[in-house]
Amino acid sequence: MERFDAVVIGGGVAGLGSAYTMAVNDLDVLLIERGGNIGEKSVYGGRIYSWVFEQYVKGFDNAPVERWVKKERLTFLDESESVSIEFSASRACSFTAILTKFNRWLSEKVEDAGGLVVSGVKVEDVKREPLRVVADGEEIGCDVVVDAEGVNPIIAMKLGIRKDWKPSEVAVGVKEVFKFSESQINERFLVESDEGLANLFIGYPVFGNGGGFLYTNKDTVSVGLVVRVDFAMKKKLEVYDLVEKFRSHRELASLLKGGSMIEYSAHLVPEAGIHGVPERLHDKNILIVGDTAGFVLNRGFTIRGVDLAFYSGVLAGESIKKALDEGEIALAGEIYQRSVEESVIMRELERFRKALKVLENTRLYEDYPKTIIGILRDVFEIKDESKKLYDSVMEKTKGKKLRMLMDVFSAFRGL
Amino acid sequence: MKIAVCVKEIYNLEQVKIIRETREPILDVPKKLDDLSKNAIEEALRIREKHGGEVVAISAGSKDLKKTIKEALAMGADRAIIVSEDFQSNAENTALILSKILSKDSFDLILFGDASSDEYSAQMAPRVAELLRIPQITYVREIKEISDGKIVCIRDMDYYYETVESNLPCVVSVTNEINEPRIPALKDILKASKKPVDVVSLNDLKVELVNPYQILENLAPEIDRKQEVIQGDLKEVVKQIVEVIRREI
Amino acid sequence: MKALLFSETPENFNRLSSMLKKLGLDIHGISFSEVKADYIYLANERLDYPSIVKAFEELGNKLNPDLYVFSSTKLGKEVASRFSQRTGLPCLTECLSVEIDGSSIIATRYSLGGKTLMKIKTDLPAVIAVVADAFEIEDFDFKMEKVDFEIKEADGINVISREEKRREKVGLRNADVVVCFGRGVRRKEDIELIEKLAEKLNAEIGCTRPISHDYRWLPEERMIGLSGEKISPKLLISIGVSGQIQHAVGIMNSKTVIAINNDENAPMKEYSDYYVIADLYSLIPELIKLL
Repeated sequence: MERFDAVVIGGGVAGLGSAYTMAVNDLDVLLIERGGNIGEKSVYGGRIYSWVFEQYVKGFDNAPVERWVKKERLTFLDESESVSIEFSASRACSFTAILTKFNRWLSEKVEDAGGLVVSGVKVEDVKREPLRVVADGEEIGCDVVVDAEGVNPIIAMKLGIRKDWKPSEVAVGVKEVFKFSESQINERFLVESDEGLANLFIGYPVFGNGGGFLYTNKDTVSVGLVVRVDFAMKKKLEVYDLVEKFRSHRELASLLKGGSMIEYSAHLVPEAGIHGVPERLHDKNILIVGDTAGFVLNRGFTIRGVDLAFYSGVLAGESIKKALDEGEIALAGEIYQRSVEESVIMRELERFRKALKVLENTRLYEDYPKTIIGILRDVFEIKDESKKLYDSVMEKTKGKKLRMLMDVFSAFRGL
Repeated sequence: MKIAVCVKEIYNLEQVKIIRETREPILDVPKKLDDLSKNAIEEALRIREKHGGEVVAISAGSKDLKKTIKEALAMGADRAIIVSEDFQSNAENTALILSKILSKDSFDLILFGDASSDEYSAQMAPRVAELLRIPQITYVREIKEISDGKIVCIRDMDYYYETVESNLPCVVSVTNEINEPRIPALKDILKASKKPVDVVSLNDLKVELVNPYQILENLAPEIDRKQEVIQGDLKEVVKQIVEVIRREI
Repeated sequence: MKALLFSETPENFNRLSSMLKKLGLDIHGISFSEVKADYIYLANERLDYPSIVKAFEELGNKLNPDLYVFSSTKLGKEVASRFSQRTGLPCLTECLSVEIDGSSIIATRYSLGGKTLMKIKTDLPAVIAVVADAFEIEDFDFKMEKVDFEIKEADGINVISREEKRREKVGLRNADVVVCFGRGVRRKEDIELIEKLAEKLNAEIGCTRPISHDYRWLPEERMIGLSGEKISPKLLISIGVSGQIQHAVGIMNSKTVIAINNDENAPMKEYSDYYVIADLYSLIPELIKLL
């Protein structure tokens, strides 16, 4: 039987984070990925917050960054019109990337550090006493397993470490990639070659729990929607139709004009925030990281997952190293549990605990985009007699001022 | 028997997408060991099983080759010698590099796939044979016999089958019908990670590269099909098909 | 300008000499039988590469041609490659078209497994292996001067025996209607179903590579694709074909394509005018009844 210090299940960003951390700490680590190539099955919106990679990955300067996000735009959409707010940052804290490429780069880093990465192999089971991973009919012995299976954690569920998601806890994300030239993107989005735009959309066509996004890559644009599964089920929404509608909206159509679609993907996203994180993140020497552990932050207008996933992998790797150094590998799970609880992951999830409640409020997605657009239309559209801003606001918010005020208040507190 | 197998990494062609407007291919996809190279490896392994000896995978390719070559090792090659750096890729240069590597050792048999699935140029085996001044037997569908320093093969040509004999050492290129390449199991992949890969540099090999070709364009042909989907009730579907057939002939 | 041409069959030879004449070249050709060229080096039949390479070297030194031309058969490609390596001249195989551009040639050939067509340029003198099927035999005024020539035996390999492939006369290339099937047809016996349909439509039968080369259910001449026949019928009915690019290259020039497949997302869809999602075993008998 082959033996490793650690076996990592899954070659997504969380699995790679843990494998990398262990490999640079001279642990004998094997990562097993189900997809034919690393990164093949990884899907996300398009933006990565950089802090964790800057801090933990040597040679991050050479990472396949597409563009550094310097422009943040929030757009309210109704059926035909839009209102946008744009923030232009002097320094970027996130970048756009093609996750397939980014993960491939991370896997090279793992291998450079001495880790072994195997793809196209499915892990069938994890057995205990002694700990073994079963894949391809072979048993591989190890001291510790890091489960980074992602949003559909078959092994973790089988072992009873986590439960399956409820429809209210996951969203379906659909993404399309459009090809342009680099200069087309620079001109259209008014950005420099290494700078990019992140645009989030509220309102049309979901008018409910979800929204749209657009990220500029070097010579492609990623566009898509995230819709919560229970909401889509309740309203009988077909996600594919929604994407079609979204893409055909005046605002989007003009941004995507002349591009050709080269990629389409769909994926589940955990959206339960802290409620989706199981109390125990390990069962002795089997640790769960990334989406498997539910480490995705739903901030309403953005979902943040890649940096947290990688960081959870780093923490798992460091905990395992510490346990081995102390000569008691059985402690790895406990050390990991503690370090996650004390980390920015849990602090952020805790801080956004209320966000989920606020985000339940469908007025936020339906009424308010329409109200804001209506007010501005009245102000700017002059036919004969113009409306005063005050009159328009009073008219459009008639009978719901108090409710709106409370929504805004709770939104501020929650988000 | 000391057997060299010259293999090629190619783009995973199934993943190559075409930009509809410009008809350009997007080559930002992972690479893999070419299927025809796998036939050559498989044949080498079978010869090793029968006659004993060593199977060495040899290749010249991009930086990705360090990873791709593991597929050959996982299948069962004993070790690999590769050039893994960016260079002007053409038949002349690759043949020169491969022959330099091959001539540093004395192989009894040098196997190739009869072409590569991407370019189908089929030049490599004859070129390397010429550079090494040894005979070639191309398009081999069956290796009949290896004994007493001779090899007998059946070639699958356009208009005939040909049984050919040659002295060893000899270059042989195989068709994809010669065998069914094995698919490595996890234990083979794990074993492969410990097999030696000798990465040699173009500097060490002292090759003078040439560039006689200029690619003017490389675009997808226009496919202008209606792509109308017909499905549903069988009777209706059949009726619709008949209509199309009547209209067209 | 001068071309030195060799092909093992007179048909391929004549297709290529017509193509070269159109480019305005004087054609010197080595052939085993009567062919159309300006100077015909009528030679004894030898099909081993060492002798043909040697003969080309010898004649090349004497004539100094601008272009050395072979048909892109397996023999043609192996001789072209070895000859190119020996002389240091550039070499392009599997050429679909050739044009002269000053002191260079520009050739097109498939690249990336047939996903793209590459236009590639190289200086003369050069060696090319050209897909003869891509050209028609035309009536040009060739000088038709005959020169006796001997292909001398050269060292290399020893040919023990040669067995002609029994080649069925297949009219795929000129057929108006083609029925082509792939691995969606599960058993050899089921070909009967395809044959019945083809009979109704007066169609030629073609197949994908696994059917002819792996299963050997049909002779190789019926294989449609990059390394087989390239067809251009008015109507192609494609049955149980997944649509690998190597196959698709062979059907590009069909006028109308109907594909029948039970996989709603097979690559074949992209190459079809009408994409029928159905089980071929229930559909085809019904179709035959109605025709």
